[in-house]
Amino acid sequence: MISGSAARYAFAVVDSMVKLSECRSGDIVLITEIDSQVSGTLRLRELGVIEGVDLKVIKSSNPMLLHVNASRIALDRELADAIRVSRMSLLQGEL
Amino acid sequence: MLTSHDQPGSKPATETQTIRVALVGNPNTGKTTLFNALTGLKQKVANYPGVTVERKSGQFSFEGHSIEVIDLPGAYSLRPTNDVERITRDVLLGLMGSEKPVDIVVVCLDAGNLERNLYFATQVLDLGLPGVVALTMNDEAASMGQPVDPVILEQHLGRPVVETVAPTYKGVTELKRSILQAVGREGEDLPWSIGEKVLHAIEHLAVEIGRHKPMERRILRQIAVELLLDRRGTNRMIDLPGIRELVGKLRAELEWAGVKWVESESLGRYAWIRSVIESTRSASEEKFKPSRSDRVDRVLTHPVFGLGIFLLVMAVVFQSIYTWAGPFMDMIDGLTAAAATAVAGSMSPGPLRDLLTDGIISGVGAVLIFLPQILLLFLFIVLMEDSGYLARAAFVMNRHMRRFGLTGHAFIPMLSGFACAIPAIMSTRNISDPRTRLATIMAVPLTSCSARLPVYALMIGALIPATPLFAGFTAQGFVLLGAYVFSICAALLVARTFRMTVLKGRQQPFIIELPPYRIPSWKTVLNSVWERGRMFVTQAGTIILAINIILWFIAYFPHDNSLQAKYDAQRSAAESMLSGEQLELRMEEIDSLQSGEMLRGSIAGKLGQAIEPVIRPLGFDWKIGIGLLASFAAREVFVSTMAIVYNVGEADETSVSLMDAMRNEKHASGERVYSPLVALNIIIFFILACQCMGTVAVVKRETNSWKWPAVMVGYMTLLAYVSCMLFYQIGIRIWPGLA
Repeated sequence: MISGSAARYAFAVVDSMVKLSECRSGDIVLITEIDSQVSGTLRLRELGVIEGVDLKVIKSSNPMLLHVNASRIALDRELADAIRVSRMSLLQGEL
Repeated sequence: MLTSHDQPGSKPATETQTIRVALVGNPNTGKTTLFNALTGLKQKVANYPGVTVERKSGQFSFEGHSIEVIDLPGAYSLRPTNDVERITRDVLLGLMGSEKPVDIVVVCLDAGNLERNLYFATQVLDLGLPGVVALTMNDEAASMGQPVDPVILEQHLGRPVVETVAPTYKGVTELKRSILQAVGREGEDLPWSIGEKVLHAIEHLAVEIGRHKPMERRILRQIAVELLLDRRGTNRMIDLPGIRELVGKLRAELEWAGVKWVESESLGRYAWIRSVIESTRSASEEKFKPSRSDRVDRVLTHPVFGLGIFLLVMAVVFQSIYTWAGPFMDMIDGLTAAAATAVAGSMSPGPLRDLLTDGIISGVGAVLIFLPQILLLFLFIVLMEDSGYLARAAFVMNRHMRRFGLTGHAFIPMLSGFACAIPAIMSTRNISDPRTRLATIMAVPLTSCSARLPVYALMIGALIPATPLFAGFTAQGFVLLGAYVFSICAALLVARTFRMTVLKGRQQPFIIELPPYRIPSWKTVLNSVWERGRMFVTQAGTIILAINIILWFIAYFPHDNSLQAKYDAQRSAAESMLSGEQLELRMEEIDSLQSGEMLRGSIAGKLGQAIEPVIRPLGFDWKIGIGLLASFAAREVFVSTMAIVYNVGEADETSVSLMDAMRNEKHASGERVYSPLVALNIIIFFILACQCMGTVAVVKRETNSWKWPAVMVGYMTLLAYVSCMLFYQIGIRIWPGLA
């Protein structure tokens, strides 16, 4: 079990190694792998989308809209294909 | 003693030397507001040589020292993805030849988004320049329950951290003092780690680069980091002898050793940043809590409602541009006419007077007349930009733009094109992919700008019947709407064609930050509108003026003095026979007869007759030919030229006499010249042809070559000609009644 970084909450992995593009609105995920061969991933990394960071999918439309740290970042779905994540569920607390 | 600011070397002591400060930070961090608070109104805007990115600088004095602040463009990283970010890197690394190295960097940090802001900040501080950190928007962060402790941040960064609330000037004096104190104090290295093997490779590469280009050690190291780790490759240092080979070898070695070098910088920096954050801020109590902006975005970024609201906003913007600009345009028009009359009254007749009144004054008027619309358009764009809405518009439109090989970023220029292509092309700068940007520049001039409207109005009013079609729409309204729809379709198809042929290439992925909504500061907004307006007048304006003068020459010469004598004789005859209102009418008639005959005999008139065989298949005669030639530099000239050609005196697009004259015009064979089909064809021609020198000039400036303006004029002329010929030739066969 991997736990999220938020102090008062704990997360449990329910689904590992899915593509970020397959996630639905409202999903909270932990980034596990980014295919650095795909162009655009370097800019995402600079914006804070890196391995080990958890994020919330605000909109799963195209472009997707993510809540990462304090930023709201929109990206193409095909770029989201290059990002592998673990979907997590909330163990305690409320969002 | 005389001292010059341009020659710092001539000054005796360092206290009198200007201290150069670079102000840097992520976009939307309140950097511009801070810049305005520091420098007040003592600002200068120019362009960096060779590129059209604005160089904004300002001056202030503090405790007897003169300090110059350069507001560098907002950037997310020192490894650039577009022209704007490239400037920031080049100035900071001292790679920009025209810009002397700066003495100090002031890094803006948005307290509400510290993680991401610190990424760029650590890159900048790694350069080792003396630095000061301005912590902005900490009040906003505090209201969200996450205030940042500047004291702890200062301990981590090893540079003074000053909290500033720019609009209230809180902290601004303290920031100025910190800048002075920081002079000459190099910053210490930040203790983040990129990994031993990568670091080793960087040191090796830095030494090699230093052999060819001796520079400060820490700058060399930053260049080495970029060359080694950034595969986007935008740094020309890679072309130094042997460097490309060395980079390849070092990467292969890292690869072989199993080191994830591509990821090393972002992982290393963010790991350190996370440890800093954890100590400066109490742990997030409510992670991923939706903000107020998120709630607004549920509607504004919705695929259906968001698009609907966006279209509504645009409708309001364009309506306001037309409505609000109207009175100002009339005023400028009136002033131009008054100036021309005043000059004409105070000079004796002759070519010099005519050049002044008809060439130069009306040329200046032709530039200024669009200023109200352009300023209003800038105002709306700046308001949308500063409030954060522009990013949402790009977000909503991205999906639709993708079908045409463009991205959401390209939408704003396309939209601005409906007011004027010149600022629209200038706003393509934030499109990072060069091919997408060029395709956008090529397509923008097809969007139906406001200069085309008078031509539509004349043609529709004169020749399209007001036949009711359905639900209150008439054939006239339908044609006008059709013109706008046709132009946007043409622009999108052209963009797609360019992206599929000469500008072929994989679409760069779309990434955009949606900044929190903020109420724009009026000072900042008005300041940017003013600066952009000034740039338009000085840069596009001079070219439009020059072309107007040339046009005047070819419409004026060869000047037949016997004609002047002939009409002067008619005038004196009229004066002796008529009086009062009748005399005035007769004089006007003589004036327009004279200008008509002179135009026909001029170079422009001769050219019109010369091109008649070429435009015949389009259904146009030589008089329309003169109109087309005259409007080559600026479309709106068409209406006044046609008025001269048809001898109807002063006319605008609602002039009844001009419309009547056109309706009654017959070919030698007795057929009417202006059928509805010809009217439609003139409209199509004006949508597709490149009849705007200002656009040509701005494309040259933005692409820094004559190649792309040439391509643009070439393809648009060809497209207009072929389309109009097909339309007319097919039209006369399918609807002979309209011909």
